[in-house]
Amino acid sequence: MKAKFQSLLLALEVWLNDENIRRIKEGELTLKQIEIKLMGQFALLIALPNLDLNATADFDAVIRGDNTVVQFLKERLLEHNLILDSDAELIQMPKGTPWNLFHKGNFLTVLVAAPEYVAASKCQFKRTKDKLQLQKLLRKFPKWKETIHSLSISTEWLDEN
Amino acid sequence: MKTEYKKVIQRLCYEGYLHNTVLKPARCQITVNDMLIAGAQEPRILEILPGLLLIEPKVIRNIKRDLPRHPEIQEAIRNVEEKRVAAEFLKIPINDCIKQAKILQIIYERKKINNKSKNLNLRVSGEDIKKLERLSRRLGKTKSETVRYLLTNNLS
Repeated sequence: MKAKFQSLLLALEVWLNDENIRRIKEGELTLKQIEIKLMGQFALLIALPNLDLNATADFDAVIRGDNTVVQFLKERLLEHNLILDSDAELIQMPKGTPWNLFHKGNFLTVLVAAPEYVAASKCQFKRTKDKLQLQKLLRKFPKWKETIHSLSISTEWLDEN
Repeated sequence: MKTEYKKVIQRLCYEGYLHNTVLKPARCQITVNDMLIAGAQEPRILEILPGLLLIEPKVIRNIKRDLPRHPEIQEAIRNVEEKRVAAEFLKIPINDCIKQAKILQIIYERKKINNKSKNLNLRVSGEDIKKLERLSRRLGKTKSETVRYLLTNNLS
């Protein structure tokens, strides 16, 4: 998944470069740098590629940039069976979430939320579908609990039956 | 790792409805029971199930035989169709199943466009044909499936 996403980003960089050359030739405004912030389940898949993790096709990301680019990204994502999630803006990442640099190109900057903060954000919502995965992650990375608790987010519900 | 979990994840990844970090997509044969067993381990499978039965039921084997034994799934399908957002399906909010059904529909439509197969005549040597036949036998696939497999996994 990580490799697929990297190749998608490279394709996007090439397209942005070509599109900007065309725009310069035709005297149009050029496209500016865009920033993609990855969060939610997808951020976990990217950050922890060796753990058995699943994600549905909704791609949780907040994108800042030209609408043309966002549209192009949507089309490329669909080729990889991913749908840009329009609800991603609603995902509440905890204050102070560290964003790790995943890709920095001429046009694109991709940041991925630190996995322990993604886990913290999932803990806030107490959803059944996240419970088993969070239990597994916290067994594997027990120190994450400290981070989650430092954000005043409880993990007690994970111990309940 | 349970067999049911592995083959359900592989099949759903193959169909493009799920993404997994370590398991390779494969066209495994799966039943409703497999989905329920795997769903107990990965609730995202349960989110997908009602939409899958509505949109691409042929992914799952023996539905006509198995579905009448699962009234809870039949109810979930009705709830997704009628958008009863307050309902639940095995502790999964139906709203999440409705969202997945919409996503499955988009991916399914795209697959339908891409999967329309076309004939292609190629000039290859007798030796190339023998190699393709050998490889197909080894992979347990038809020659067309082997070419598609090579394109998907090795070159593209």
